[in-house]
Amino acid sequence: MRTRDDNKVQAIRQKAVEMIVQKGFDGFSMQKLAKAANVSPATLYIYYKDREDLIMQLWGETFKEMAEATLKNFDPAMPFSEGLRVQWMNRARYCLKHPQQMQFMEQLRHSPLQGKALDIMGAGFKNAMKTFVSNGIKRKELVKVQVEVYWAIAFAPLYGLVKFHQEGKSMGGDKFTLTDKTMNEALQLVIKALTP
Amino acid sequence: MEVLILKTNIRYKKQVKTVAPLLNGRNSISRWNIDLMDIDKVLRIESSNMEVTEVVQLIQEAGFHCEELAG
Repeated sequence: MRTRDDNKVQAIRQKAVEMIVQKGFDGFSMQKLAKAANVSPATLYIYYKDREDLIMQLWGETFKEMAEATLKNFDPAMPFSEGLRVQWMNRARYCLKHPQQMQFMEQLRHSPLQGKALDIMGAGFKNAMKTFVSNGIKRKELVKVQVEVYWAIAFAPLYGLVKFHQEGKSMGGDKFTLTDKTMNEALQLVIKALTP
Repeated sequence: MEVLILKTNIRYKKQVKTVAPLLNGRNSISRWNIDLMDIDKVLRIESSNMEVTEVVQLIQEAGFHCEELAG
């Protein structure tokens, strides 16, 4: 019996993400992936049941890595402003380091596989976020708003800045680099907006 | 346990249903699936003590093309 080769698996994962980001789900096939990762199609089927199984496993692993990176040094019991700061730093760091992984997760969220993706996510990350928010509200450090409004104010500004940074330019085509100073400035405004 | 990987021309769910009884009827096959999303329509079989030629014959008797996918 053939055994699992971790280096091979890593190469397969990396190439799969690259391919999906560049060509979309429609342009992604087991043959093309096998060629790009320098393995035979038969090898792919040793590791994965089928195309969908490969995509969903990839999603599960990528999401897990993202969640772990986001929750690093974070505790849902932290004071709100401190907890938000840790999350901003963690999220920014992950996005800048893994732009393709972010893009892949975004694509999957907008694909027909979204429902299955939510099942795989598990409750850990979601619960940590929920507890953090409800603690903040209980301690009157955070305004009570609809969760979507909270997310849009708490995180969308960060992802907007990260996007500018990754494109190297902002709205009008002006050059843009995300610095710690810029990020802190934005974070302070976000905290101000969310403070009761 | 061994994994057998074969290329087929089974393209539709309805066709999967026609080969299903043949594959389900084999004790040496513990699990199988066909990746209809894939261009090679890969038949993946988890089995013990089953020869690829046996599977090829089985699928061909059902009226489909089947060959081992080069590993």
